[in-house]
Amino acid sequence: MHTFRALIVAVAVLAGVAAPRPASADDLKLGISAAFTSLDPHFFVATANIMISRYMFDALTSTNERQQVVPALAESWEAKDDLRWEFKLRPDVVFSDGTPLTANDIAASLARAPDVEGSPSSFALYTRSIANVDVIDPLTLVIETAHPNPTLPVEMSYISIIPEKLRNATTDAFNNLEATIGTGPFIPVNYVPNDHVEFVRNPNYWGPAPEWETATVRLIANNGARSAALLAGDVDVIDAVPPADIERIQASDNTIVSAVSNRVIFVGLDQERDESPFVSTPDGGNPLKNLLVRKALTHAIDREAIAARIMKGAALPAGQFLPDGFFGVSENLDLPEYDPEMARALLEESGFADKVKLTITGPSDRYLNASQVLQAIAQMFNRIGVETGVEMLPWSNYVSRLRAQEISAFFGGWGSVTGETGVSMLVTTGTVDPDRGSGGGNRGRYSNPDLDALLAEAARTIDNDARNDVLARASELVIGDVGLMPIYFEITNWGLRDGLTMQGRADQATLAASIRSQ
Amino acid sequence: MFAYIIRRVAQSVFVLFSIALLVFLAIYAIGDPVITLAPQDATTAELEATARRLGMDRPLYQQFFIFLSNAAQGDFGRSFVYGEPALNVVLSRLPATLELALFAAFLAVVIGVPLGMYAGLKPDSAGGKSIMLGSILGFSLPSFWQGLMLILLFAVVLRWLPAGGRGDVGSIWGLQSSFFTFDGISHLLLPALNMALFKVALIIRVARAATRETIGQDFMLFARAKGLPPTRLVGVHLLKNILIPVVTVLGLELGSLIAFAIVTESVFAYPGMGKLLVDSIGQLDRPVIVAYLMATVLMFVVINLIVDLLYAALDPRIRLSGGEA
Amino acid sequence: MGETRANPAPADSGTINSDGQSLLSLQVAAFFASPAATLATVVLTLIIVGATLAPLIAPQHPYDLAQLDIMNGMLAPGARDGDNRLLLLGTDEQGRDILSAILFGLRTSLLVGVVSTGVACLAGSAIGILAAYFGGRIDALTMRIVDLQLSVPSILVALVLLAAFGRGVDKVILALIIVQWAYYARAARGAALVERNKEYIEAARSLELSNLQIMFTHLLPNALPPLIVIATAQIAHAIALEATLSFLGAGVPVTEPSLGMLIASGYNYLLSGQYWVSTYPGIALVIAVGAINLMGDRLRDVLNPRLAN
Repeated sequence: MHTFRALIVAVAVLAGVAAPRPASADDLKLGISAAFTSLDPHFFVATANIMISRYMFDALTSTNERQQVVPALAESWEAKDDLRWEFKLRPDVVFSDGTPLTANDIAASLARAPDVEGSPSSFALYTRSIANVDVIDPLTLVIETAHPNPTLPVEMSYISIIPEKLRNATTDAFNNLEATIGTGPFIPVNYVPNDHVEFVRNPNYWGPAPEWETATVRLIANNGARSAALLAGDVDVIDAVPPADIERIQASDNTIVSAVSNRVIFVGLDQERDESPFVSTPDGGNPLKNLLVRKALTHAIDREAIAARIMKGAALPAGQFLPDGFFGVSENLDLPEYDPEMARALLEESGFADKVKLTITGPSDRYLNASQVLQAIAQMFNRIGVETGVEMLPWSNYVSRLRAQEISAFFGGWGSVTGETGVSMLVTTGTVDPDRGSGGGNRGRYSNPDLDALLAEAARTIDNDARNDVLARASELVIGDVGLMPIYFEITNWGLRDGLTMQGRADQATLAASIRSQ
Repeated sequence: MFAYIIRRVAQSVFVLFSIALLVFLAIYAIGDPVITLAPQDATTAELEATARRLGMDRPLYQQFFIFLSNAAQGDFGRSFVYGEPALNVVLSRLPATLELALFAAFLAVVIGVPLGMYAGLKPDSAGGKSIMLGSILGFSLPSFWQGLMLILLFAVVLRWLPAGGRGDVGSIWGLQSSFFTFDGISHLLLPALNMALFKVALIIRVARAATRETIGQDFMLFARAKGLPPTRLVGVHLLKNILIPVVTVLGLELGSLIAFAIVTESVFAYPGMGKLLVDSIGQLDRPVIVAYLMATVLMFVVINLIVDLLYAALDPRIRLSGGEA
Repeated sequence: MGETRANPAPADSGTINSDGQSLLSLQVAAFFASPAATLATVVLTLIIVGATLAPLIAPQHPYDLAQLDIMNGMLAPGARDGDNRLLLLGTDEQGRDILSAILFGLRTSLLVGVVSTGVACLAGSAIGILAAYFGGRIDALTMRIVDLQLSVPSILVALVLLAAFGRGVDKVILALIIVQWAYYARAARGAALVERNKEYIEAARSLELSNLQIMFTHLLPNALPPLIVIATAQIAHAIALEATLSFLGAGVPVTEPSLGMLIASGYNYLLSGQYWVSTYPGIALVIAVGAINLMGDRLRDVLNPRLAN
């Protein structure tokens, strides 16, 4: 075998072919699960695209592992009044081409982000509250919002800062590496769409230098292949370790790092219409409008068993919108108790015992183990006498069906981009109003004026403690009404080659700059 | 002959047109790319802006005609997801898939021809019979399952070969390919083997049938009677005669190798065209789906045409006429 | 003419039997002369019986979520569940008994394979024979459509179709019919063209038999043997294609797993050593497809004596 190998190498070298590169301790190879589609940081609001942007670019602010806002290009910021935020830039930051960062670059980036040609899903989401940007001096700018927006600082962490001269750069210019000039820890040197990006360390980086001379981020979407790549030593780090492989990876001298994510997985119920297509009773009508039925369903779910048996520990049972310790979480809400007896009694009381037939619809290609979890939930509903089936659809089909309201119970997930419960509740349980972006994910059409009022109050409360209280009260209201049924928070697991260490992040990002050798 | 080619080309244009129409209708039936790609909290105004940017704000028939007139000039539109010309996205994957398909075809011949010849020369021996039984097993193994078994054995347990992905690309005389690096070939070996096994079974059968047909023919009997050594008989005369059917079948199968690369590419996380198609269907990236199918079908059609023409050139008895081809 | 009718063998098979035995019984005898084909037939019969009787003999109804319990999930082969029932081949993560799931999965696989191939064969042959019989424009148009169909690889068409149709056994069958009919249309047309110019058809025409009668009582039986051979191989192909489609995430519903879907969901557990979810259904699939392929192979040899010595 050795001679054979040597022979091939010799032949290859003689033929003028690149010999295999020796793996160096300065190279880091990462295998990630979600597809990144462009190096243009303003092209597509997709988790993986945002993650890749963070290698090359910085934003005014950043978020830490627990998704709390921390300074980045802005050294400090303060709310001048309800509508005006002043940001002070860090001095001496230069772009990778050597030009210094100024407030004009920020203004240009904020202008480019919401409307990039051909963008399938734009960053307007994070800039829509902005009415005006004033450059005061090269290191100071004031952002004026159209309405009070306490989450502006965290929203700013999503807008990558590019040099002003690239204000009108095309997406192509980024993809062919002409325009990938940033202030971030790495510079891309090779990009193959939907496959990999190779980075080298940015010598001009203002923060602590990354340990790695080069970093290669490879897309390995297939779960088995990703685990196998780590086990075979092809990559040093993988994200989203499939729960079933955790043990095997630990057993073979690799480390697992876990972090509870900001993504809540829930089941929503159609509670608006009098007739709903996938729920039926002998007498007609929509039993899901009945609070007792919804309570019965939520108490029928054994969240602990799902987390342990199906998710193999890659989930934390959930009773509200974000895990403990996040912003706007209520201390009064416990996990809904698993009690099939009580659930049956509630059904009995509602008059729907053994009468309800239900189909839950879920996306097959979006959330980890979705089809297994949904089948398990259906088992549990069946056990309290609700005849439940499961229908899994590809995401593209699923969202179209959701929009057309061709569902009665649905499986969903929501990652809080702000690290607060406010947006989560506004999107998933706020009264549907697409013009404002409220209730965009509220497919059960839960509507409660009291909740809307609380969320509106929170949205204009700049004071953090006061807002926290309002959001906690709002959470209690929704959960009490069973506006939706939180099931669990995803726990993200990373697999690292022995000798490496990192902090797991709630936003599920894998950042080479924060991976260190021990 | 010329008229025949013209006819085939016209036919291919019709095929491509039908496929484009089918894809437009199918995507329309599946869902709306704008909603699929948008965040759930996008406002109506933001969704409308996205629809405008993607050209999805027009009625479907208008979108189709705009596509047709652009496609006639070689412009298949920009990928919704990658923001690059769709054809570029597809063609940038073509070399990877072609390498895989060609390597698989090569393995299929190297493994299949000798086994097929042996089975043809000694049909009643235990070896010959097991080869034929084995070839049926080869037809019957689901390739996605077989792929993971290969990964498990060679990459995880034995650690001889990488588990997936594409290796380094080298270049010789300006030609870029992972055939030119050791790393590249080591990455190709497992997925190519996985794709090849099914074709090995096929090649065994073709080679066996051709061998048996050839050894019964007069010139072989004559050559044997003349006292030609068996090695020369098998190595030269027989091999020459069975290579024609083997190459023909392989040519025809190249198209299906490329199409079925979807499965192998998914299992081995190999960045080829097939994996791109699966991803693109999931994201309703219509321009890429259309461009992919156009490119694949065109290859399919061209390969078939070449095989037909070669056939005609090799065997003057075959007359080319559109319908029977 | 009457003889041709009673004898569905191709007219050019050249087999003339001197001892008075019918050709059919000779062919049956030839078929079973091969031990492998005999074994395959026995195995396939067992599989069909098992799959047909699945609801009666399976320890559990794997498609009924009310009978499953995740607390019995991922039990190894030979373990016992909460009710102390023996689980011969273990369970999947839903607590689905793999043995029961295989029996039901075989049902789905066979149903998909046989129905899609049968319908495609009937429809395709009818279209092919019609085209051959009428010739001219009808023939040309039909063959253009066949060419169109055959110029796109089956898996791509099936993937796009299923993306549009959604999930369901009926939808998979429909998609597989659409990708398969053209093979039969082409083969039947070819066989019928050969027959069309034969004397007995001329004779039938001169007797002024109706077009339909000529086609289906004379052309069809004579074009049948090659179609049977194709169909046998296609059943195996259709079963494998369904498994592949389910693996790629387009196929049967998750609550009614076919063999392909069982393998796909067990695929997640292979690396961690929980091999049974994927391995046993994989073996069942290989055996079923292999048996059908073996029989098809033998059938081809028997019906096509030119190749079989």
